[in-house]
Amino acid sequence: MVTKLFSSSIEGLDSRGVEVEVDLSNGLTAFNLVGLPDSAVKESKERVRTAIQSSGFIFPLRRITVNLAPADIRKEGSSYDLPIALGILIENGMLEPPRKKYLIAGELSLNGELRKLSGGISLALLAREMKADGIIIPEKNANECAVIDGVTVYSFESLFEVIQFLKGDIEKSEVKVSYEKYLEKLNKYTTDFSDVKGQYLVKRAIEIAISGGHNVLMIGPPGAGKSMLAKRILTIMPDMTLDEAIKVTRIHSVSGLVNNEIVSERPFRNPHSSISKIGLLGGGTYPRPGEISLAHRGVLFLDEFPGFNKDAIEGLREPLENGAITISRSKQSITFPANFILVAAMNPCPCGYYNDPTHECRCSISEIQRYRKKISGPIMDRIDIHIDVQPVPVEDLQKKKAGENSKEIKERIENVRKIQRLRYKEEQFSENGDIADRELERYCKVSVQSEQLLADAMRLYKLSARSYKKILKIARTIADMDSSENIKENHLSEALNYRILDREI
Amino acid sequence: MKDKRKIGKKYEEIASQYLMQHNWKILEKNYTFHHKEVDLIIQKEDEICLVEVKYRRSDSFGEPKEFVNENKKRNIKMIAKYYISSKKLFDKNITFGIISITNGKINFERGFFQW
Repeated sequence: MVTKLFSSSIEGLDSRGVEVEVDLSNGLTAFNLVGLPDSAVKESKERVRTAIQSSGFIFPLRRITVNLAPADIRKEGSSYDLPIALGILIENGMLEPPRKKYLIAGELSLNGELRKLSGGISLALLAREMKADGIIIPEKNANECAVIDGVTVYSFESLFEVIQFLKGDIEKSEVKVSYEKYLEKLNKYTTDFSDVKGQYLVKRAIEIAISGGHNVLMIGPPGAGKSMLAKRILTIMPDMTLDEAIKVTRIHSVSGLVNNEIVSERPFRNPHSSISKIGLLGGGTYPRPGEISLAHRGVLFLDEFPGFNKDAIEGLREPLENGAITISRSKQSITFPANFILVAAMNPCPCGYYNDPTHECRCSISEIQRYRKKISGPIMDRIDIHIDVQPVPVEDLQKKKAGENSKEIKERIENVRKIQRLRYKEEQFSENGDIADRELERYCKVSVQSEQLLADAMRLYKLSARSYKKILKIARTIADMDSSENIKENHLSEALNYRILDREI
Repeated sequence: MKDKRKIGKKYEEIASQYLMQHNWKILEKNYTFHHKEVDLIIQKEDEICLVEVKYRRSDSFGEPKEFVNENKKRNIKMIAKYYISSKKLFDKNITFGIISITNGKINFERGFFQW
């Protein structure tokens, strides 16, 4: 008799069902594992043997054959330990086959304890899709999986506990977690927007960017507060909906970054400029998500933007446009979501003081040109808001009165997001920054005078067609912040202001 | 060298006595094939076990079973293959065992190594 149990393998972000078949037969004692396992899966033999013995069971001296089906997809990771161990025990007559259809996954340690697995939430989603009766997973993945509705989650500390559960010796209640509980834990930051003195224009630009999901480039001398502001963006990010949180958690879980809970805080990714192209965009022989995907629904902050690898920066073109990146390799092609707000910071020139009112710039024209050339036109064009950060005047620094705190700003942003969600409830997108080209005219109507203003600006500053669209989208956000139904002339002129660097560079 | 052979013989005898007491049937003693040897081949029900007998005067330098090297294991595997095919034992469960004798204690372990 062959014992069949169900588990899953990760492919990109999705889980695929895998059947774990175990057979014991006479012949030379051996432990064979087939079905395209990678080395971590092959090593599970040793873990399973020791874990069974240290849980107080006898490891059968028989010819053991384990098949992971379908045999043509590659199995990686250590999550097959648990189903293999259970399969062997069932085959050996120490355990009855489970009467219900469970999805089983977990890595075993040598003493029989269950360790965390990666991609837990994808497993739970698969269980819902397959209409499984429940999932059996390690304790450390319980909270992550339990937020998925319609899946019965049973979590365990050890192999022994799972065996007792399947025997019916112990009752286990299903794990239940509410998403609201996570949101309560949030909003505790040690930094605040009011820490930054002055810089009202930049703060305004950032607020617009976060409200409408636009990308920002901050250009300014060292010490002006670019990084300081960027690091505080996290404190004004609107809360994620459950749906968004599940999608983000899936990406983080596959990368092994989830620590027994759903990601309820919007991601803020801050990779160093030494990051490789694959690290930023994702990839590898068996594609894994990169920083841009980990920043999905959150902020990707690239400090010292020109310092990044040129290929890496150019690779941002597609995800900035489509909100996703498709990684094609000879073996497979996978699309990872990458809908993030890009916040980039750079100096205007190598010495950092070009255009600074207090310092003299020491760079030659050719040096400045070389420096700026590192950020190509197409990338510049894709960044909606360009803002010039000027040094903080000493009067502002010494001002005792703190500026607006993050909570107030966040409330406003939540409001603007709500307006957008309501307006775009029947669309694929939910933010002004993502308005589809076809829908642009419908949602960003402007008056005749405004059109004239836009036309003049286009001619004067020689703006591109993409710039034109971006300006309309920014204007839409500014109008929303003003609670205005229509885009007015003043909204448009403010939006134009944020494309001014198009002209300068 | 002659002396060592004698000691081995003595403990192989002790081992087979021990196994018979535990209801194992001795099929072969010092079964050789191509100058490769396995000390005992025993049977109980469906299981046929190829046994290596290892004596050590003391376990201060490690247990006796630690002194069975890869080469020896390889030899036993090869004999197993030959033995199965010559005696047509394809439906039997073949295991590899070791009897360690040290400080007057006899310890029999099946599943000492696997294919």
